[in-house]
This record gives sequence, structure tokens and C-alpha cells, in this order.
Amino acid sequence: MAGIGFELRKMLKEDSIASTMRSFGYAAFLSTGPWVSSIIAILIISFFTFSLDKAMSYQLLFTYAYAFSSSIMLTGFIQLPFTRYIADKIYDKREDLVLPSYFGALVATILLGLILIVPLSFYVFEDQSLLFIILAIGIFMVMTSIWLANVIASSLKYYKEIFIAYFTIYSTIVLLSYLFGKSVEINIAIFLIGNLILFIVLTSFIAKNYPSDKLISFDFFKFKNFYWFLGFSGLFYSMAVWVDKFIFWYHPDTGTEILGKLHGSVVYDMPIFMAYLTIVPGMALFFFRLEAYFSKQYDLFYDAVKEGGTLNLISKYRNGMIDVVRQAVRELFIVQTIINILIYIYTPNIFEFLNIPQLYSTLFHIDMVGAQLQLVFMSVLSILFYLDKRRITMWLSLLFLVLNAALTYLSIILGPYFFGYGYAVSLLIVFIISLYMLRKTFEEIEYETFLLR
Amino acid sequence: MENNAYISTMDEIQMKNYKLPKSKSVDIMIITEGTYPYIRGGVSSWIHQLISGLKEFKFGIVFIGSCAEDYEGLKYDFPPNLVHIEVHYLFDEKKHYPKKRKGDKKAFIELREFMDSLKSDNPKLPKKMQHIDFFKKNITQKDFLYSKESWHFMKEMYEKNSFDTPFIDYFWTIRNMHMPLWKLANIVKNLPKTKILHSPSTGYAGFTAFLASSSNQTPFILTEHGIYTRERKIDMLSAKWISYQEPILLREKLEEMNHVKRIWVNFFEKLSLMSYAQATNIISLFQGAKEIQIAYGADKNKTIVIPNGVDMERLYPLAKKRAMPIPKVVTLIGRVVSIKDIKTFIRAIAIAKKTISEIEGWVVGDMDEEPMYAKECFDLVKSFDLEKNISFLGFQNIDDILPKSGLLTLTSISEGMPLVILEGFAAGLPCISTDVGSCSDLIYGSLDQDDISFGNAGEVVPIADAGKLAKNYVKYLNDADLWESAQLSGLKRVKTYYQQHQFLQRYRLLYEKVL
Repeated sequence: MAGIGFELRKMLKEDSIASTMRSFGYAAFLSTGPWVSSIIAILIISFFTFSLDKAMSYQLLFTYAYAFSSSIMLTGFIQLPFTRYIADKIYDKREDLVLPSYFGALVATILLGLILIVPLSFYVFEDQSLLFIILAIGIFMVMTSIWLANVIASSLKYYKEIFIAYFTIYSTIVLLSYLFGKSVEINIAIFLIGNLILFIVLTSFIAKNYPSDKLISFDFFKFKNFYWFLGFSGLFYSMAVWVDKFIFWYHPDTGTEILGKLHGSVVYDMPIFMAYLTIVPGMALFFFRLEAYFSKQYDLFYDAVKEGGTLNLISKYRNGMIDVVRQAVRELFIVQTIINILIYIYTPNIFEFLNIPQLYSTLFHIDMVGAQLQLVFMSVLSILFYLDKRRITMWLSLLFLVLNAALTYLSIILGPYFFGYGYAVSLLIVFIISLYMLRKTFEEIEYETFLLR
Repeated sequence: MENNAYISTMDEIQMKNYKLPKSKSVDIMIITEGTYPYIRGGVSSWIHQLISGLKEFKFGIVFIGSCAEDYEGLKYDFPPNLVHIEVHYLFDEKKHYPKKRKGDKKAFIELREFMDSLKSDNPKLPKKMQHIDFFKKNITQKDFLYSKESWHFMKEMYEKNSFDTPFIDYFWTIRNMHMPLWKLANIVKNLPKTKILHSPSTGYAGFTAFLASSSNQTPFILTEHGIYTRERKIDMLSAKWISYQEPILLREKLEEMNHVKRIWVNFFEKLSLMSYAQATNIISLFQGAKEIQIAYGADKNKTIVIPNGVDMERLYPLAKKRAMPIPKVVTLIGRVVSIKDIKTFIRAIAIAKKTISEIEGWVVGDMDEEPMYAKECFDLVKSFDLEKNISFLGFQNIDDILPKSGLLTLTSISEGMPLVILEGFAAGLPCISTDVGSCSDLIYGSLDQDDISFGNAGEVVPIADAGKLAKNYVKYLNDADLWESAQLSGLKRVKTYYQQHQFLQRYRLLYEKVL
């Protein structure tokens, strides 16, 4: 008889995005975190060595800072796409591909890094000892590996174990440096070995959790597997985070030579690195919000969509997500503002205790506001990652990079009273825009979920 | 990988189209939905017979299918006067990465009007939508699928009509239901010059004819073989593809036919009504079908009955080729699909076997359309231990089969006017059939007093009643006198009322009148 059997397949394919995004969401947030943990480590180490030998302390600080910033920028490009790729594989129940992909990404990144960093190191440190150069390259390599290991480690949900590993190893590094750190080389060697152990620990966690018969796979780099927008989001973001420092280091008015051709900025560096420390409580708080509340609302929303909720219910859960974000951002502001006020009041005491000139306090205060804004911006970005808004995050990161570079440069021209404002104002602008984009995303989330996926 | 899959489907479509004749103008354009020339069956035979018989007209075929992979190659050799064939698929999925778009707010007023009218007893396509440009300019397919305006529209319709049901069901139902309209509009836009549109069903084919007819002012003849709406209801009741989710907040049993199915059935009913309203002539194959059409809303003055006809010159000699005594073979000619209820046939043979141990049941027809159902049938044969008695012969030339058969049977749960019964009669075979469509008219006679006086050409039994089927198989196969009198009745009936030349002449006159 006439008539098509019109067997319509179930049109909304099991929305893979919904489930992968969760693990990805955490990881995206966590991976914006390495620079914070690295800066904490740098600061602590330099405090301890400061009293011993001021020059050595600066040398160490800058060696680490350069190794960290260059490795973060290098991995910045592949870190988010790699995170997403791993999340996809885990969702596809292809856990066996995790370990080989991890090794593949490691090998590729380190090879690329060596090509870039070896000539650069010999150029920058031309008047340093060969041992120093090799150690510097070693730190760069081991940090690159650790950033990649973090990606997968954060998917393991062994937060406690990973935290303990970090804590133990870094405490030991600090202790050993304090006891035996007589020269720059020894300090770097201690730091390098410690991080190497950390890397091995993280890798063994990964290998234990994702066993595989295959050793190495470069599938991740295949063109069609690559999430370009995520790559550029990561690259621009990590460049943006460092660009104000680079400008201060190399501007003739504010930068000085520290070590070979490495520059630093006596006025700028200490306050901003310290300001980063102030946002640690907020980071923890937001991470908890994301994990405990937002992901729940997000699941409710997609369940209602997939399992046949009424439109009313779907909208209710969407509003639930919005509420969680609103609360989280508000909470961040309140908590950070309280912390900032306390620190503001006690700045003279803290500086005195740490033996830092009071001159820095004005810059420190504006940096503190900037760091707070960076935290909320980062939080909004990670929500956008969660909602798979790759293009938006890329443009926001690029805007952050451009603004931070331009306004920082402007602040140097305007004079010392404006130092730090470039960083803070650029973040204020991108944060407001990111909030607007997030609002728009939520407004259209149902339309996009139903019509555009 | 998805891309490759898509490319290979495109290649296949092009390969299939490669051999197809094309022409810029035709006299009669027949619009088929999932039948000729890719699927064999009653409607396809009918079309083939019509085109082959009316050589003075140039015919064209617009084939509308679901997806390319559902159809194998061509099943017919084309008559020379079939000058144009085009093939379209309604549900070919392409992988899209759609972009946001706005959509024209004003244009959605028309779509709203249309959907509101689907709820009334007098559905109409708003004036603007009757023009094909509407689908090309005002609301394009992309607008319908991806625009924000469309989202607002869907939301509004949902809140108005179905706010307490799962939104995802409603959304996909409305979307899938209306999506073909754009493809159909596209077909209409590129149609060759056509003098008469002829659709052998309502549904999407009928709607295409409707659209072409109203936008080009071409006369439109509708022939209904079965009642499309009724067949869709049967589809719906057995459909598994309409996944139905109960509302999260209302975990209670709703009515038998869930809301999604109701929306579909209503949609097809209303499409039928629109085709009825536009058609110049509404043709049915037998009186009973005509009455159903009228009951569904067809204008009485437009309805005519034109029964099928068979080629006596070809088929009658087959009767003489039959070796006597009566072969203990009961033949079912039909595709192995659920609507033919092959399982009941298998059960009937199992029962009849108890009396006639050597009885054979032949199933003659394609088995690839519902592979799952076919497999269930094979399993049933095995479980009844009937491997020696039942044969699935696939598609065969009936000229080879009929002389070897002793009885013809149909166990369908729905039929229009089955041509095979008439072919069987012409080849001297009585028929045992379920009481569907015009089977009882054909077997007992109904057209006039003469027809009835020809007597019974077999027996009609209720649907799904294997016991009664078996009883009659045994009765006719064992009683030569009864068998011969039934054979004679059938022959007389076909000769008087259902000859091919009569059928062709009626359509010839109709076409000439409309032209």
C-alpha cells in the first residue's frame, strides 16, 4: 500500500555534549589554575631564599617565572582541546585511549617545546653556566609535562590524593631549598627533581586508572579531532595572563636585567604575584559551587530536555542554572571583598612582616582588585566552557589579551600612579562583557539546544 | 566518516537517477509515495498497468520516498510513454552545523494560520502559502528549522495546544511533520509542465499534487487505493519509532493512543481533507471505499468508482495449464509485511495440515521491506515445524505460480481492491480472503443482481481468524465440485466487470474530459 513508512530516527541523538561537558567543565576551570599554584610556589621559595641572598632569590624567581610562563603558553594551546578530547573519549567509553593519547600529547609537546626553548635558552642565558642552562630547560620540560598531567589527573576526581601529592612535594622542595640551597644551580636542581617526582606520581595515577595495551597515539592531533576554538581560547588566555608582566619587564622605564637577557620589574612583580595569593579562597569556593550546585542544575536541565519534561519544567531548570551562577558570582564578590578589606587594613603589618617596602602597597591594592576580577572572569569563562561556547570564550580571551597589553602599555606612559590599572581595567571590561555574553547564552540556551544541535 | 556516508548516498541517488528518463513536459504526472517504481505491490502494478495501457498519453512519475537507503533498484521496465521520472527523499538526513538566524516574524503568521486550521474541520492552506514562493522567500526551510522566530513559534504552539506534554515529543513531532512541506514545495517548483496531476493516495503525495494544483492551476485527480488515513492509523498503532515519554510530573497512564500519535493522525486526516477539497475527481476502487471517502469529508459529487481490471487474454490460458486434481497448494501473493498478516496465514496452514498433511502454503512476494517481521515469520514456521509445508518464494512471475496453485488467499488486515484476487479469478483460482477492502464484493458479488447471481468465488472470513481460514482451505481443496463452481463464478465475474480494457477505457475518458 502507498505511504512511506517514514521511520524517523530518534532525532535528538543522545546529546553527547551534555555529559562530556561536566568533566570538561571542572577540568577547564582547574587548568586555568596552574599559574596560580605555580606562582604560590615561586613566591614561597623566593621568600625563603630572600633573607639568604637577595640576588640569588631574584634569579630563582625569574628562572621559574620564565619557565612557567613559557610552558603555560606552550601548553595553553593544546591543554583545553586535549581536555575536551579526553572527556569525549571517556564519554565514548574509550578509556583505553586516554593513556596513549596522554603520552602522544606529552611527546609532541615536549618535542615542539625543545625546538623552541633550546635555542632560546642558549640565547637568553649566554653568560650562564651550561649546567644552569640545562637545568632551566629541564624545568621547562617538566613543567610542560605537569600541566598536561593535570588535565587528566583532574578528571580522576582524586582531588584529595592529588592535593596531598602537590602539598608534600612542594613542602619538601621548600624545606630542602632552605637547608641546602646554597647556589642557584642547587636550588633549581632540587626544584627540578621534586617536580619530576610529582610528574611521575601524577602519571602513575593516570596509568593506574586508564590502563591500555597501546603505548602512544597521536590521534589527538589529527586535524578533524582538534578543537581549534578551544586551542586559541587557551593560548590567548595564557598569553593575556602574562602579557602585562612582559610589558613591564621589557619596558625601559620599568624593567631591569636580572639574569642574562631575562628581564624583571622591581616595581611591578612582587605586588602582583602577592595579589594572586589573595584569590585562593575564592577559587576554592567557586570550584565547590561549580561541582556541587551548577553541575546538578545543568544535569536537571538536560534531563528535562531529553526525558520529556514540559517546557515549563525545562525553563524552571534553566532558571535554576542562572540562579546558581548569579549566587556564585555574588558570593565571590562578597567573600573576596571581605578578604580584600581585611588585607587592605592590614597591608602595612603584612608588608612589615614579610620585609617588603611599604611603597608597594598602592600597586598591591589595585592588583588585588584586578586579581579578584580575574577570578570572576575566569569563573564566567569556565561556565561558558561548560555550556560549550567555544567561540565566545576564544573572543573573550583574545579581547583580554589585547586590552591587557594596550592598557598596561598606556599605564606605563601615564606614570607610576597608574601602574596596575591596565591589568585591573582590562579585566573589568572583559568581565562585564563576559557576563553579558553569559546572559545571552542562557537566554538562548533552549533555542540552541532544540534547533541548533 | 559521516561525510563519506553522505557522499556515497549522493552517489547512489545519482546512479539511480542516471537511467531515469527526463522530459520538460508531460500529460499526466503521477505522484507516488513509496511505491512505483521502487516497491512492488498493488498500487505499483496499477500504475504500471495504467501507463502501459494508455499509450496515447505521455506520463511522468514523481517518486517520494523516505530515505535513499530504504529502496533498492528499480522494479519495473519502463513503458515508452513514461517519459519523465524524478526521485525525492523526504527524510534524508544530512549532518548540519546550523547557524543562528532570525526568521521573518510576519511570515510565521501564515504558518500559524495553517496550523490553527489543521485543528478545524475545514483545513486550508492560507492564500500566501499556496504560492510556492512562500517556501522559498517568506519562510525558507532553514528559517523553519533554525530560526529564532521558529523557536518562538514552536513555543507558542506548544503552550497553546499541548503545554502539559513532554516538550521534546511535541517539538520533534511538529518539526518532522512539517519539514517535508519545504521539500514538497521544492518538488512542485521544479515540476515539468504538466497537464493533469494524478495522485494514487492522499498523504504527502496527495499534498504535493494539492500544492502543485493550487499554485499552477493544474487539474488534480485523486485515486485512493486504500484509505490513507486509516492505514496511517494502523502504522501508528504498531509504530515503535514514536517514542513516547510520559511527562515527568504526570506519571500516569494517558489514553491508548498517545498525544504524539494523535497529532500525526490528525495531521494526515487534515492533509487528506485538503486533497479532497482541491481534487477535480476523487476516485475509489469500490463502493465501500467511496462511502468511507464521503464519510471522511469528500464531496459526494466528485467521487467515482473505477475498479481495477485484469488482462483476461493473458491470464485465462493459465487456468487450462493447471494439472488436476486440484493442487494442494494455497498461495498468498503479497509482500511479507505486517499489514498482510502473514503470521495468521502460517497458523492457518498449521491447522489445515492436521487434515491435509501434504498441504502447502506459498508466500509469493518481496521479503526485504520489513526484515524484522520477515524473520519473525520464518521463526514461526520453524516453531510450528512447517518447513516442508510453507515456502517463501520471494517475488515471482505470477504466470508461473498461478497454474501450480489450488487456492488463492489473502490474510491482510487492510486492503483496497486487491488486484491479485482478480488475477487469480482470471486464472481460474477461487480465493479465501479476510473481510477487508472490497474482498467480499469480489468474492460474493455486489455490483448488481447479475453479479450476485454469479455466486461465490471463494469465501470471506474475519481478520486474524486462522481457524476459519484453515477450515475453508480444507473445504475447497477437498471438494472438487465446490471448487469448480467457485472457479466458474470468479471467471464470469472478471469477464463481465473487471477486465483491463474496461478499466483503461474509464481512465482514458476521464483524462480526456479533464484535459
